[in-house]
Amino acid sequence: MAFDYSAAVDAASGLQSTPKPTTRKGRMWMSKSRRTIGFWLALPFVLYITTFFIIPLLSVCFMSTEIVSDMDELVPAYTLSNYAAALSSQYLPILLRSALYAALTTVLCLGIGYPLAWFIARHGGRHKTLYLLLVMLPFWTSYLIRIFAWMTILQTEGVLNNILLYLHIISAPLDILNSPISVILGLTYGFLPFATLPLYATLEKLDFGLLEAAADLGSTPRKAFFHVILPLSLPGITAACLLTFVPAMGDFITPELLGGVDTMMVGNLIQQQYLASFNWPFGAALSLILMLIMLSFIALFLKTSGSTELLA
Amino acid sequence: MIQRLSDRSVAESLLNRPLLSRRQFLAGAALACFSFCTSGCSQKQTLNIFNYSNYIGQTTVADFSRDTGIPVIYDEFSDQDTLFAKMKLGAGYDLVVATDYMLRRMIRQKLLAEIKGFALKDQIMDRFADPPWDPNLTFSVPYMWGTTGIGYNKTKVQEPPRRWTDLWNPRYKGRITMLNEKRDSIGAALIALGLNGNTTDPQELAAAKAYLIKQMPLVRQYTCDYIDGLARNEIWLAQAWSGDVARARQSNQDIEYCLPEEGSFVFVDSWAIPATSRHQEEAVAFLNYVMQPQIVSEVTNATGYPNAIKTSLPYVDKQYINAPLGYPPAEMLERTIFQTDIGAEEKKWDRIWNEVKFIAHKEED
Repeated sequence: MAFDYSAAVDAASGLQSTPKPTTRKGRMWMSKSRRTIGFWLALPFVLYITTFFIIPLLSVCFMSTEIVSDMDELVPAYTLSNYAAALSSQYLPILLRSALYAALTTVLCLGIGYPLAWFIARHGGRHKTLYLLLVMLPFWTSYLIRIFAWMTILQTEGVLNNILLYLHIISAPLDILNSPISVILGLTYGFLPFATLPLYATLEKLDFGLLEAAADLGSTPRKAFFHVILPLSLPGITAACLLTFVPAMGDFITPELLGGVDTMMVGNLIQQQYLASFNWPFGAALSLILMLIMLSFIALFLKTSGSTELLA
Repeated sequence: MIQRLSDRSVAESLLNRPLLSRRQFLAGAALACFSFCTSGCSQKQTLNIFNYSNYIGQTTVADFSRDTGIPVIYDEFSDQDTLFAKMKLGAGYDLVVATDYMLRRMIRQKLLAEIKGFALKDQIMDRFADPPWDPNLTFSVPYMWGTTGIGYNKTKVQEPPRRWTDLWNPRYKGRITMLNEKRDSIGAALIALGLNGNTTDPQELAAAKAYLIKQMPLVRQYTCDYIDGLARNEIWLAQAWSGDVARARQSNQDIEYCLPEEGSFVFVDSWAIPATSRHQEEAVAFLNYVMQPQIVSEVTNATGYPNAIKTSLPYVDKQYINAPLGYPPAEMLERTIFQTDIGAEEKKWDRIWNEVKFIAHKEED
């Protein structure tokens, strides 16, 4: 009564009626070798992802269910108490604050990055490469050192205040350092290249003849921009938003150095659990929650902006 | 048309991303350091030292390497909690500097190796020769010590601070920093309230928390890196460690130090060898080098922290003798207490420090 699978498959695929069985054999050999090649080609990537992403992620998941013993050892407890603590309403304000800072940073980066990318793409001419190099130049110095430079610029007796005082624009020094302003400024400065480069890539490939076409059809420059250029540059805007918002939300160096007592972000909270309070399970739960929030944000964002191909 | 364009530009944007993100760069740098360390360790018996920042002479480490031929990788941290977390990770250090109460915790958790072959034990100051956290100095060698107090800028404050409560003075709003070290910040609040600075009583801790939250609108930062801020007139009053204030004073003569009248903490930072160290002989060689009276007094003169070697006093800069900033007079030291190992109760302190730093909001009025 055994069911003949191979016969059924052959019948279904209509191969049984194939007049030349040798061809069939050859095709099978081809596909097998192709599969083998595919396997070997994919292997490094699969190993890489497993070693550096899946295993660490699983261990963080596991850690988030552990507890810390009185001897500061991690003990498996299979508890959700860390999540309960992390989700308690008292941490909501710091999450909201982080999202707000990241959102403001994103808006500022777009506001500065778009005109900048526009300028380089349209008016860069033969200096394009030079301008792009200038955009990337900050990466050649450590971010920490650049943030320390901002501290000397923003401090009470710093460069900015001295210039403004000298020019009689202000009468008393501004107290910017260690305030929300300095944190958002630092974040914007840090992530501006991440916003500018994808915007440039989009605008550079744009056919600006479309502007003329729009003008010929009676459109004002403003209308042409909002109805033609802006929709076409949407993929660049999406990429710029993601590359700015996501890392800005998790940043902790900037608020640590440029921030004050009331500007701590969720990254600082997580860092404190890992490096100071020695409460890794709680830190793990916090980071997984942050990750989920980010993922849902990205999914929502891509869906509403209609650029789902970024997900594929 | 739109679809095709967008497909292409997305691909372009991905291709045109910067070659290295900051994170990738950091990860790469960390990996490079790691491989450098591991290869170095196995071949040249490199000594890995993990010390507080601003806690060694300008050339001490280089001189040691030159004299002994032992290469050193020298790393710094700015608070004890970071050191502890790294020790728990088994970060591969051969010699670390730990504070008294933290030493007790590490000894209790069997994280340290016994120190054998240290030659200058009889020259350790009597006060630190048989401390409660490490009787007989089995696991540690007292290195530098100091007090927690208030560093201030005398041209910016109306009158010099005398008490911890002066850090709660609204006149200096935004110009005050507190230490980002829970034992010092919460401890100072406790002492200011007339309570035990090492308490584990939940009600007393809650009172300290409320007092710190009350102070928040005035505080610029919770930080251990305030030397620059003091020297640059950015910070006017800083809860500070004595030696750091001495350091700030080297570049700004307006900086003064006060050991609060209500009492404060005295600390001893000691060398210790992690149990995981594979270069214990080299570590002891470094100890026998750095603790020599002349060498360790150079560290004192450079950092402003008094050292624990009694025979080093003749070599110490006169300005530090019998001065609040250096070796304080005996009657001042009587006001100070050690921070004690509070065992698992430390978690209560962690929770409170978390709540102050991340949950509380300054209430502007």
